[in-house]
Amino acid sequence: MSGLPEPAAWQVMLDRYGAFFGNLRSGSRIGVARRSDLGRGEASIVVWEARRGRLHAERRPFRGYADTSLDVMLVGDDGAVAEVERHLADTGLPALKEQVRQGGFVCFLLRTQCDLVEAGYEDVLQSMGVIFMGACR
Amino acid sequence: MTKPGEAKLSYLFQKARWGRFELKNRVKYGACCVSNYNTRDGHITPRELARTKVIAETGCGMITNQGAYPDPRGEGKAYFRQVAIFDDKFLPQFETIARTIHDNGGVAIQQILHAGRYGGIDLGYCVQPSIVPQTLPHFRSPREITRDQIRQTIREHAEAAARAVRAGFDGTEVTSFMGYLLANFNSRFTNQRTDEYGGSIENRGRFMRELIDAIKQATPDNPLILRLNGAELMDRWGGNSEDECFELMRQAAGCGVDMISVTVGWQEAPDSSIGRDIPPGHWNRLAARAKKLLPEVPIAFGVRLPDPVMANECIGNGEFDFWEVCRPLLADPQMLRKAAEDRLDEVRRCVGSLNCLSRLFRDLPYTCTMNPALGHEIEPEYAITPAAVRKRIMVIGAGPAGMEFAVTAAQRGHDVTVFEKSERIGGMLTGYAANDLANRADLQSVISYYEAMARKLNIGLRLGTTVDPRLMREMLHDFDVAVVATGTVLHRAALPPTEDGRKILDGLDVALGREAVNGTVAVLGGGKVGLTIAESLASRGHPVTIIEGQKRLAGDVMPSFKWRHSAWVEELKIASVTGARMSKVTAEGVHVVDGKGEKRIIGADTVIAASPRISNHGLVNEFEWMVDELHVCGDAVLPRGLGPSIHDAYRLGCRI
Repeated sequence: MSGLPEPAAWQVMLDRYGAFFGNLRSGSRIGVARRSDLGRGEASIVVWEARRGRLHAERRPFRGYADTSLDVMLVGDDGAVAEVERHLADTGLPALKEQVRQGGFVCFLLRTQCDLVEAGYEDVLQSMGVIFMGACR
Repeated sequence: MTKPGEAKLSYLFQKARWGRFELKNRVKYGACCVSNYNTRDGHITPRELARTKVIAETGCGMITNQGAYPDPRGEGKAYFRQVAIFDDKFLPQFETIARTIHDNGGVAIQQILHAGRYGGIDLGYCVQPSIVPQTLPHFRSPREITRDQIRQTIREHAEAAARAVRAGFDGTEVTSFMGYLLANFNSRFTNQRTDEYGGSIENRGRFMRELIDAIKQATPDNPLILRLNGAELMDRWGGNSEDECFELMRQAAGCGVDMISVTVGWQEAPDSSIGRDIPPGHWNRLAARAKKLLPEVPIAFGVRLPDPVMANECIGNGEFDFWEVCRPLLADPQMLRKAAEDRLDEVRRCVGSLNCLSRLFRDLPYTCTMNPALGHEIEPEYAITPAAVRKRIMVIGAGPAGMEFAVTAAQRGHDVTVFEKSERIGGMLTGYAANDLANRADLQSVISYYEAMARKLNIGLRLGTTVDPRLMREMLHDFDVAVVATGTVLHRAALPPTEDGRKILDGLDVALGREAVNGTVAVLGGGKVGLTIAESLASRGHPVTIIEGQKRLAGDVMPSFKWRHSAWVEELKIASVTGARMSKVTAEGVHVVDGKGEKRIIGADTVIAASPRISNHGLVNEFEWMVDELHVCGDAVLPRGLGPSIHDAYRLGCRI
């Protein structure tokens, strides 16, 4: 059993902030994981999948970073995941964004820049604090 | 004979022995990433050679030539126009560079740069120790490097080092800065291998140790420098701790590396390392720790250490041995000579705008906000040459454009007088600097530089003088040339109408402290000026909402600094409404229709308009028949900000 919040808890956050993810194309998928789970043999993650304008959360097995079904993967350390979990019922998204900015969650990009823009990720990722158009801070 | 500045900065200008070499001072010109001035297939261009001549003439005791990728496949290639060193066909230009450095009394070092995780820029992939996906979309998808490929890569590094020495370089450098292949092996973040190259820190350092050994065997008489992280700033993502970084330095020293250059951060690290928001000297402790750990190994350092006075103190205190300089010498290649002559007030300081790196990540050649000639050294049009005809020139406006033009024209021998309606020079930059949360001193240094140069070049300054047609008629025939550099004005006609006696303050007046701000604030415009005002006010406790017509904030902010404003907006809890159309400002506040088409009223005690600003060039038409030559430059042509204003004015100054 991982310490990652269950899909139902994420779903509350995704529905509350539905507009934030509104530009994502149907079929877009974001994975969420706890880093300490990923080293285990049968790790599972939560996947948010865009379907007809709404993100749906469900648990899936982690098949490694080469898993081509994901566009983006958010991997948090134990403290960051626990911090976000505390806020999922109300201010989950700002809490997640803050953790990304503070480095508690790393945001891996599993598609090229063009593909991500095409799939409607640009605003989502920029808002998360991902440096979409530059690097070297 | 010792120059006055050399006596003041005696540690910096002290001669130093490094193995069989005697360096004329303790300054190492850093490789400065890459210039992107070269051909797509890795050949060095005449543009680069002209630039290299300027670098060689900086007066540094040691000059590191920019990083060349060592493999014919291009896996190590990080930038579109990076130079290559995988074949003898590249030798002639490297020979020219080594000779140019030697002709100027420098020790010549060639950097070998295999970018690893950030490489393969022309390929569809990059190589790294393990498959760890990218966090920056600019880079290529990862492939795991095999053991055979590791051996081949090490061999290619050794061959590249031998080639550099054959070209005449005195030594070589391998860089892990900022997250390149060497760093990828060293770091737990990217090295999750289970073979002898991964796992323990001993195993993770194996690639580095084998690399040092191979290069040492290939170039036994030539020193090798390693650039290694004192802090990756990746530890929260599972990367190395600082202790592990220093353990890796100890391993490198144990293998006989001849100098360690201490660096900070990876390109993708979640924290700042080199931006303006990091105070100068912030990372010096890492160099001091390296020196304490490895007292016998020469330590070079320069990350966010732009000041020669501070560097001199650090060397005097034994914190490091060599000051490694990069961006400050891009901004002013004469910095070291000016320091030696005790003319530091005449130095154009690097303002940490990250213009250079922002351009590299757009696959463009790097340029510098403060040095318009950077990258144009081969073009005579960018050189300051004596004017064929000495002219009497009046400049209207003492902002960066007016002052840059004045300095350039005066350096060419023209007789220049600047007219400014306020009581000080600096224009809009004065207000911007006063409110900048990142580092006010950086931007204020631009103004101080112009003040110093005006004194040195006897540029007339008529402050508190408004130039209008009446004054112009009084001065008719006093000047041959008029240059209008009057910047921008708020485009009040484009602002929403006001009711109930409400007033919309000009953002510039607020920034300069000419208007008082009360209570809750609405800032109209979420570009860099609006953001800077909003952040400054929020940091002083005002609840602030930014109202922006575009879809996103920070549209005109340097790409590599956008994230900083986004973070400040979040941290300071600044609200924003984007995609907004404003209909009016009443006693209730600002009436808007937001991006979703909903009508809202943003309550505000104070309403400030940061934008739109339009060029203030009304004088151009009025003076058309009053002076022989009439020009306009900077934001008065088109509002584009500090860098383009300075560049525009410099080019005009060079040709007038």
